[in-house]
Amino acid sequence: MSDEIFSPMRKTIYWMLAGVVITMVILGFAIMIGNYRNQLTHTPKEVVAEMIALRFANIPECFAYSDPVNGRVYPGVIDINKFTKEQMDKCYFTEENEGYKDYNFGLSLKNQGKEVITNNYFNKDDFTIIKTVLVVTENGTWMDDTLYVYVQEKIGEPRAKG
Amino acid sequence: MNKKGYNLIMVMFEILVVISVIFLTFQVAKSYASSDSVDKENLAWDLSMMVNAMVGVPGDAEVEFPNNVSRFSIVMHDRGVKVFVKGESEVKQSFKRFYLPEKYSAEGTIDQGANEPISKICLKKSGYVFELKECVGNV
Repeated sequence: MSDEIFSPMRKTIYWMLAGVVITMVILGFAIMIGNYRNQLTHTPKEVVAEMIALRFANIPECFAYSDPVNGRVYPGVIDINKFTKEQMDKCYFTEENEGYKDYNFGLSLKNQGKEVITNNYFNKDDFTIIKTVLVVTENGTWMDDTLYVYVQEKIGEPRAKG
Repeated sequence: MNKKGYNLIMVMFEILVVISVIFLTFQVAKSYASSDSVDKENLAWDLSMMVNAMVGVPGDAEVEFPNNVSRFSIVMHDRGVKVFVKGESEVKQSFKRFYLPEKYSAEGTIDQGANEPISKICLKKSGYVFELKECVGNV
């Protein structure tokens, strides 16, 4: 008699517990696959930042020196007259509203003691790229210097698509 | 209550649950394995980094993308690159943003539905313009 009553009850409790466990297993499996997918698509942030930072010392639209007579560009040579916020905004300008979710940079020339930053740089450095450069000063002399590129990867959650 | 009948129903129910759990798990795994999401994401990343790398090159340049892209359509514009399988929803498309210096622009569409599949693509920088196009001849 008691077995007839309690057997269905036991089954019900068993399936309630089993339902929770099965749900957890499926969720865990989905999360595991998601993590694996993230591993496959992972791109090191240093590589991305290095690619973007190439422009700062290499092209005349950023800070590279170009000969005023023949227009020849000297990659790796920084024109100190161009090392300004206005030039940085022409070189790399992230979105006004959500640009802080992208890579932003603070550039510093060690010997010259000059700094410029991108429009959404808030001193939250993730890492630093160091480059040896030449600098053409105001009086036209060429000097050795070190360019520190402070990289702020993102603030907050990754941006939405679009 | 007929105990035998009840037990039989419960056994059938248990078997059904087990089968459906196995089926669901395989379906999830299969959909991930057969989907192009990883390749799409990596292709979008690669193209956006190619643009960033070529921005850092003074002068003109042309680079052939080393992989076969015949499964994907690609749209490149001034703000980024979008990779997708033709006809799929916006949510599934991969988009990578990039920021070009002033004066620079980027354009190009690889449409896989139009004619023959395009397998080799090239990214060309001439002056201030980036162009994504099908490779023609040797680069």
